[in-house]
Amino acid sequence: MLSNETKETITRIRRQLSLFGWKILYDWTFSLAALIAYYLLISLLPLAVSLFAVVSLIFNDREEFQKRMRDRLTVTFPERGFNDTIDSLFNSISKQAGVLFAVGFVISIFTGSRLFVGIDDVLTIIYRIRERTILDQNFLALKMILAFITITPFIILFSSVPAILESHQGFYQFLPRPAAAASAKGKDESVRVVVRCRPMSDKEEESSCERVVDIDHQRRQISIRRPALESSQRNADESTHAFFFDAVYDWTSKQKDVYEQTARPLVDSVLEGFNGTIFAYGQTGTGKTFTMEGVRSQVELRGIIPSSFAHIFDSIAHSTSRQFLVRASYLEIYNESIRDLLSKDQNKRLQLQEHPKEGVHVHDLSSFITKNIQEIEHVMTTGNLNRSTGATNMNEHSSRSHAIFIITVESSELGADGKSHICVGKLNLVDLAGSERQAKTGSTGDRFKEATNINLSLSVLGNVISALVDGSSHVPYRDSKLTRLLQSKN
Amino acid sequence: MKLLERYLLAVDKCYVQSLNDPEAEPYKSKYEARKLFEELHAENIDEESDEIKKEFDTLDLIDENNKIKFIIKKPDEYLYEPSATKKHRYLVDLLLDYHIGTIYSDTEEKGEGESRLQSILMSIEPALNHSLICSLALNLLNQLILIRTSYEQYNEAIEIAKRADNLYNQSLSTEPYLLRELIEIDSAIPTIDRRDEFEQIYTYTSFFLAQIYAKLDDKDQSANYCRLTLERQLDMFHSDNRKHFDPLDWATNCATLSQYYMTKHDYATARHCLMCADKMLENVVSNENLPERTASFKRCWIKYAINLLSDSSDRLLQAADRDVTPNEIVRSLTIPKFEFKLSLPSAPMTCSYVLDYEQARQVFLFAMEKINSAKSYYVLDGFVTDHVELCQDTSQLYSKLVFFESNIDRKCKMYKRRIDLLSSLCKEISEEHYLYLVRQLLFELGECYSILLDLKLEQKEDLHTIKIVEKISHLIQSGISAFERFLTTMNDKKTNEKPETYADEYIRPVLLAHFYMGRFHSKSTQNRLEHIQQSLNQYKTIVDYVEKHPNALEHIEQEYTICKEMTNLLPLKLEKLRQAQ
Repeated sequence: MLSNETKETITRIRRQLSLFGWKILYDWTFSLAALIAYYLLISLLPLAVSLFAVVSLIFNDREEFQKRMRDRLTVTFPERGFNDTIDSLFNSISKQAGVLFAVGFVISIFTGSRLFVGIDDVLTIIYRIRERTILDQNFLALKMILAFITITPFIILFSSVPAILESHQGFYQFLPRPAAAASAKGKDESVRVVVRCRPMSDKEEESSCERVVDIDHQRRQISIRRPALESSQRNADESTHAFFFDAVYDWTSKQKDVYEQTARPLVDSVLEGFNGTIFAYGQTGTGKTFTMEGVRSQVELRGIIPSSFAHIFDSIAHSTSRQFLVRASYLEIYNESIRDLLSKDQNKRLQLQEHPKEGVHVHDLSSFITKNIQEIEHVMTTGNLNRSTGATNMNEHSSRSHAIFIITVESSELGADGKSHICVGKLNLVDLAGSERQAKTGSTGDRFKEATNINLSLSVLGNVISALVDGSSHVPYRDSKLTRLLQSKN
Repeated sequence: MKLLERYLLAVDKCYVQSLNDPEAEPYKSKYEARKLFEELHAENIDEESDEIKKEFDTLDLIDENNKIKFIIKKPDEYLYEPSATKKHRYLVDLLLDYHIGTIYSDTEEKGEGESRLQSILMSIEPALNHSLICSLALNLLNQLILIRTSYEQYNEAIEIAKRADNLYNQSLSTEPYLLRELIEIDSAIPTIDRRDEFEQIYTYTSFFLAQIYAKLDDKDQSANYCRLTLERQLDMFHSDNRKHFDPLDWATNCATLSQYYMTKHDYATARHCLMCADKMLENVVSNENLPERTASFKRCWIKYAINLLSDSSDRLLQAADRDVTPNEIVRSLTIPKFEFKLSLPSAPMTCSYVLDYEQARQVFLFAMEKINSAKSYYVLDGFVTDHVELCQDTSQLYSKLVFFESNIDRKCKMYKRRIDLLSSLCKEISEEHYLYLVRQLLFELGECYSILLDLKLEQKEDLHTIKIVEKISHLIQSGISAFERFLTTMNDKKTNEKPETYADEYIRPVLLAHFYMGRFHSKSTQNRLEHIQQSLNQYKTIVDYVEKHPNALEHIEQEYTICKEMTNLLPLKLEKLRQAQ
């Protein structure tokens, strides 16, 4: 039950409210709303102009951004001749952005303060609050506009978050894309190929090299064009080649993004008992090591290998229902012979064997149980040390040796039947160091790359001959150890 | 330091040290070497020996269209340029330019490299086969071949190779000096070494040609140049210059080449290559790869035998089809295309097509012996893939031998052998790790059951003794279960369900498996009604699949029409059977 006092209060408030409502409805509603709307419009236009000017000021010297804008605009408005309009637009903006901004800024401060003065007037009329002098009022308006200017960028930023997310998840999916790569089942593919393009080096910047690679995230496409002889020539249609991948990363991509999108699903599946392999392939100086290793000391520059270590041990720490055992092995394949980088005797060569029930495995390969990131990193460092000491006394060694770091994750889980179920997953991290030199020096069993160059080394005569043979025949080479080892149980 | 010493340092940097360049600066040593070579242009040539002066007596320098050129002086002509020093200087400059040009082309500046090399070629063109110049010229032509192939202009590369060929043939009688002897002749070097070095350069030319023809997909020519390369390597072996020769490699390459000629039905040449490969193994000093290669060569012989038998039977069938005497169509080459210079023992087996069971048996026994000894190396535990392939070869050998056998009882026994072999293997190996192999084995096993069933049905006219009926229904059951297992290997691993669509390479085997199962069911004498229904289901599966996936039709055209008919006929038959009951 409500007390009389409360009832009275409620009635009083209700009466005041209804009075206020009627007043608004009869006397002021439309005229005030129209007034505010008028001020708002007047103030927004110069604001928009100055914002636009700021944007163009910032991105004026970023050609890549302009290029992307232009491309998007051309895609959105594909009419002929529109290109020219865009071009002239871009040109005039880039020239007059400063002036435009100054003018826009001044006008928007003026009109903005008018808006607040207007609002203040209206409020005064409605609430009959104490009158301010004109000076006070304008002063207040100026303070308000300054506050507004500070807050606006934040508002814009936050409001654009959903839009950015949207655009990343295939806002542009409706654009045509070749069927082969368009399949959205990327995750289910057993092999995923992603490409990452490094930024231009200082040296390249200095000699003002031209960037010939364009990356389109949405379409997962990179296109390479011939360096333009004349910069004005823009009909680049026949001189560009487009390639589609499961994912593309440009020079601004972060290590974290690459890991999260490409490696994480794979490492997750390893934890569930599947086998996975990650390797980087590319020419010298294209950033393979940066992607795979990165800078270990800085978390944001960590590459795929340290990130996967962290990922594995994190998942283990967070799992309560399962028991884990993580083992690490490290081996090197050089000239089709296998060396255990973790064994005490570095001169021993290991054999690749096929067990009828267990598949392809390396006989006698040592493995170490690791319980945390530090331990597994220690195992890797030890192996790397053995790798480099072995390398110094052999010519061409580093350019022709492959190293595989194998992480075996065993997990046991108590099943519904009360028995524990064990599943084993393997993660192979492969270092194909210097693979590009094989084209020049050649190595047996290497069919990785169909180079246009012919081989200089007579040691690959065997490859030339075996390429002639097909049909029901036997080629007396063993398949490359690398491929055999990785093919085990996929 | 003397010019020669500095030259040798630069050469070492360019060709040896460059192999160890850091990854980030792959051409570090090459660039340094280029600088060294460039500096040497300014270096004075040390005192000339009489030897080199004498050599320059026959070489003259002329100026033609503002281009200085070497020409060979004819005996009765006078010299335009009598000074040996000037000629020597010019030749050394060309040598340095050759290295610089090569470095340009090695460091991705092919255009620059090529124009420099071309200009050297112009300067020496009229005197290519002079003993001071021919080594330089041949090296130069090799480099130009490399550059042309890197532009994928293979035919032009072949043109250049022809010039190299001419040059080589013209220089057969000359004594080519080594490149570094263009600076200073080293009288300590024996003539034979100079010749060997020159021969080695030409070996590269033939090796490059082999690769170029391979790029042009001219396999015959490519094989021919591979053979030439091998021949030249063998010459090196005979001339006791063995530093560049690896007998095991040579033998392996030779055995591989045999497989090429084998697939081209040139059994005489294939056999010759295999015999040479075996022979060369005698020269291999103990090597960790030796046992593996020895066993591997045996596998080449096995393939040889299988192919020979299968070719023979094909040809005999063709002869029967066209109604000609077998001798016409099975006439075979008995003389190899070429012969490597090795003294060989008498041939272990025939290279002519076999015509009757006795000849076929000889081939079979020879191959079986090779299989057994290869198996003693490729044991199942450790070499699963190789071991299984050897067993598949055994099975193939039986199937080829059966063709020449007329006695039906013995035919059945041979099939029984195949079945025993394949089914025991299927139990031994893990389906998870050797899925591909298990599929092949199961399919072949199913086929064997099917043929054996046909043979048994043919053999026993009277099917009504209980024992025979049991035997036949056992065969049918085994055959069906082999194909059923084959089909389950195709199932999705996670859901264990049949896939909607099969990969192209599996369409035919999968549909055939259904087809075979349909046949098995229709042959059954017990429970006719049920089996015919099953049979109809199998044929329907095929028809349904093809209707859903029209592109599958090309894989199974012939069988499809049969299936289609069967799906029309079998319901009628079923109806009849039902009425009879």
